[in-house]
Amino acid sequence: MTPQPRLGLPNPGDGLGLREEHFPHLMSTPPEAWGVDWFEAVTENLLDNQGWGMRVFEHVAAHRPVVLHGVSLSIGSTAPLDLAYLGKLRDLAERFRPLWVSDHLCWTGVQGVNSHDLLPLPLTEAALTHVAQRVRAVQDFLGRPLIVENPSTYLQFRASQMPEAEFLARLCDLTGCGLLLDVNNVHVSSFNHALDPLAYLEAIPAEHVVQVHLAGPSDHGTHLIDTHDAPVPDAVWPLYARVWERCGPVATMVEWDASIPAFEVVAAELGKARRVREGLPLAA
Amino acid sequence: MPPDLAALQDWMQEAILAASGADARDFVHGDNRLTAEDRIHIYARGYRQRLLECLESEYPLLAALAGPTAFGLFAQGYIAARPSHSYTLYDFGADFAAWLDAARPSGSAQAVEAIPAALARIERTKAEVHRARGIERDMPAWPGIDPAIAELLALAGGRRWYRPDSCRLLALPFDFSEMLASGGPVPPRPEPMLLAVARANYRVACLPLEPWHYDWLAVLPEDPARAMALPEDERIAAWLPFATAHGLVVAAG
Repeated sequence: MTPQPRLGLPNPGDGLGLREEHFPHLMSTPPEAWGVDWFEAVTENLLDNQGWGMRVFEHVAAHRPVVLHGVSLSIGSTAPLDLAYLGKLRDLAERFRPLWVSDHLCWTGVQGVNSHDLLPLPLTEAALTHVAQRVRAVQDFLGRPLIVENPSTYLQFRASQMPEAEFLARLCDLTGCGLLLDVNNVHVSSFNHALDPLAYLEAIPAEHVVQVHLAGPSDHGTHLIDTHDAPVPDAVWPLYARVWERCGPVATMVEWDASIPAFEVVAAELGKARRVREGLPLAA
Repeated sequence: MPPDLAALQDWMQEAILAASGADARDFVHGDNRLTAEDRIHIYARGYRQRLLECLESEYPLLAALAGPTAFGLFAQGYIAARPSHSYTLYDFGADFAAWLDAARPSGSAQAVEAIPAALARIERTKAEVHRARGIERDMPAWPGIDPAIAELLALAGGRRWYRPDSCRLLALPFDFSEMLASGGPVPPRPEPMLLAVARANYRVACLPLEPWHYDWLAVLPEDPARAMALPEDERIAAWLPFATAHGLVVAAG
């Protein structure tokens, strides 16, 4: 049987990350004027929050599809899964019915510590078995497929036995999980490790790609850091074009998390994505 | 759990927390751009920077009053002493005031060294009130409670009252009135201050209190089921419209 694109999940179009800096705009502008098809909210910003942030999310979710994007699942950690966190995530998902729930291929800490960073895994057979077992456990707990994002990485372990794209492809095979393909992260990691980003993209199982992230990193000369504080760089757009050829149509979303400009400026990045898809030059 | 993976994660977390590149070459590739140690330090710097930014965001007045050097020392001390154990960064700064208090030289409660902890208590309370359940869902949330309606509520002498979770009380050794009014880093006066941090219409405000305000609010329960009648005190009856309009008290049911 031919696999369904996007695991059979919908393509809601072009989305933005829900950020506090844009709350006044979203609460004072009619939804039909937002110019955005859907929103991604950071899960941890909503858990235990009954204040203004939750009120705005309720408003946005009442008018547009939403997805929940986590940073603390720590799917690759050797520490036990945090069942309290998962329980709250499940409650949140049942309340708001997001299109999907995503997190990262990473670990965030062990021994009870959370580094609040997306730390890289050694890409070994043992790590793959370990992560697959935990992805299955999370999917059983949540009652839905987990969508896993490729992280930006700044180091490679000597123990690694396979490329990251192969690790992700095999994880998809083993668990049926989806992929959130962060094209900027492919660019960052490829630059940092002198790898070919196009080869990475070709090795990704297209039918598992449910969502695409675009963002701007910071250039430190010897390396790039995934800071989400700038427009999508020129080098990322050809990679996005290739992703669209292989995986499109697929939900595309722009992340901007530091030095956040006006809503219209961030939304303009989605306009660039549309032009790339149509084969037009970036500047109108 | 694969033992090699567990050992690797133990080592890497320790390297990040200690900002140490020791043994990095045993585990991590280096190249002509970045050594294995350089690559560990990218994560170690990112870890500290993220937590520093978290504290700066939660404690902007303290950061402005202390200045970047002193605040950086406070933050780095706290980051080293209290690594995050929560899934949310929101919890990370919860113990900052207590840590500042414990870390300062012993002395009077109104010694200048006690200012950071006192100010941190205010700013942490504001963060907690921002995320509290509050009262907005129980009454017209937008554009807000009409003061006239609040006044009518005050006249309803038979009603029972409680203090919502979005109203917190602080008894402070310093008077931060000028700083709170201006929003700028004005040094406080060494005089006690009673303060309510409360939310109305999703806006958080710091409201100086008289002792009789504080004493009444302090005895009010948070549970609406245990709400209390107004005491026979004309001052409180007269103050009630202000208190309801600013989310300090709510009439039950």
